[in-house]
Amino acid sequence: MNEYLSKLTDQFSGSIEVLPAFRNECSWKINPDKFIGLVTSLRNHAEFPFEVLFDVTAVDKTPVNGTIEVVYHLFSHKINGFIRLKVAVSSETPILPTISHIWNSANWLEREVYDLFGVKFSDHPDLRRLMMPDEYEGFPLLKAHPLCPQGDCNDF
Amino acid sequence: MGLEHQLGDNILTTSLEWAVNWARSNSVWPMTFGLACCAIEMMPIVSPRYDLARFGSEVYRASPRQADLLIVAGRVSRKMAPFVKQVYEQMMSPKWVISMGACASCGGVFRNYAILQGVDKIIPVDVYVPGCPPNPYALMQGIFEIQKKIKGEKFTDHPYE
Ligand code: SF4
Repeated sequence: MNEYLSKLTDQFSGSIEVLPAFRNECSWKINPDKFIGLVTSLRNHAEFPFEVLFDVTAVDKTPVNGTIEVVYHLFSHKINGFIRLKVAVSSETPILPTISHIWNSANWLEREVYDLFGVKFSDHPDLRRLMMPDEYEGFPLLKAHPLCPQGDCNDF
Repeated sequence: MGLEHQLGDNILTTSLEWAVNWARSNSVWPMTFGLACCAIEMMPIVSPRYDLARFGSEVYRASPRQADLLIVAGRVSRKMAPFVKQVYEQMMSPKWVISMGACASCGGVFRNYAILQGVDKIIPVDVYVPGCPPNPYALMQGIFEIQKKIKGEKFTDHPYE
């Protein structure tokens, strides 16, 4: 494991669960209530500041364990290293705090996750749909969403 | 209502029609409007290799007011559909539409919640060009079909809009 990863893992070992690394890329699983504190300290880390939020996406695991897993990819220029954070929220009330005040790029990424998975980000400045039409009902990337909600794709 | 509506078919109007159709069919200016991967195949038809300028259609107009032909090049998402329709409505009559590729014609492989299953659901289409994506030569063939269609038209075919 890279040096920065072992150091960070030691430092935050209380609030994370380390998932098996894949090709030297490490993932941490975090509790939603510890999430904001952890990303703030990663962003302002003295030794390895993670300045870039590469991506926010999600995986619908409702059939497996009733959660939606929101995935954050962070990058640090200083060490040229990635870290991946996974936060599971329950499918019934998918709410997470926004991180758009920490990384501006999170603004649209969170809108995308809201649009396609229905995860609400509390205190987000402008939580509107990003890709689907505003009047669209439902969240298309959820497993429960049918391929053509109108029944027939030809209905328009 | 123009004069041709009063005069009906006679030697004067039909020869004028022939001349106007000849001029129109050799200056079909397409609208600069690409939606997806098909647009990549639409662009080279004006390049030296294919050279649509030989047939008078080389000028892609950046404004719908100056365009005669809308090439719907790519898949139309439900979010984009109102804008495609708006571009079509802003074009001056007479105007023609080519639906380029499988996606614009019938949704192609994208049979899902996001993609319109054929642009003919929102605007009238004159020529469908099959392919995914169609070769630029196929699109040129589609423009020739439009030219053929124009040559057989009457003034009264086009309402004043
Ligand atoms: S028909 Fe093929 S090339 Fe054209 S927009 Fe669809 S997928 Fe792309």
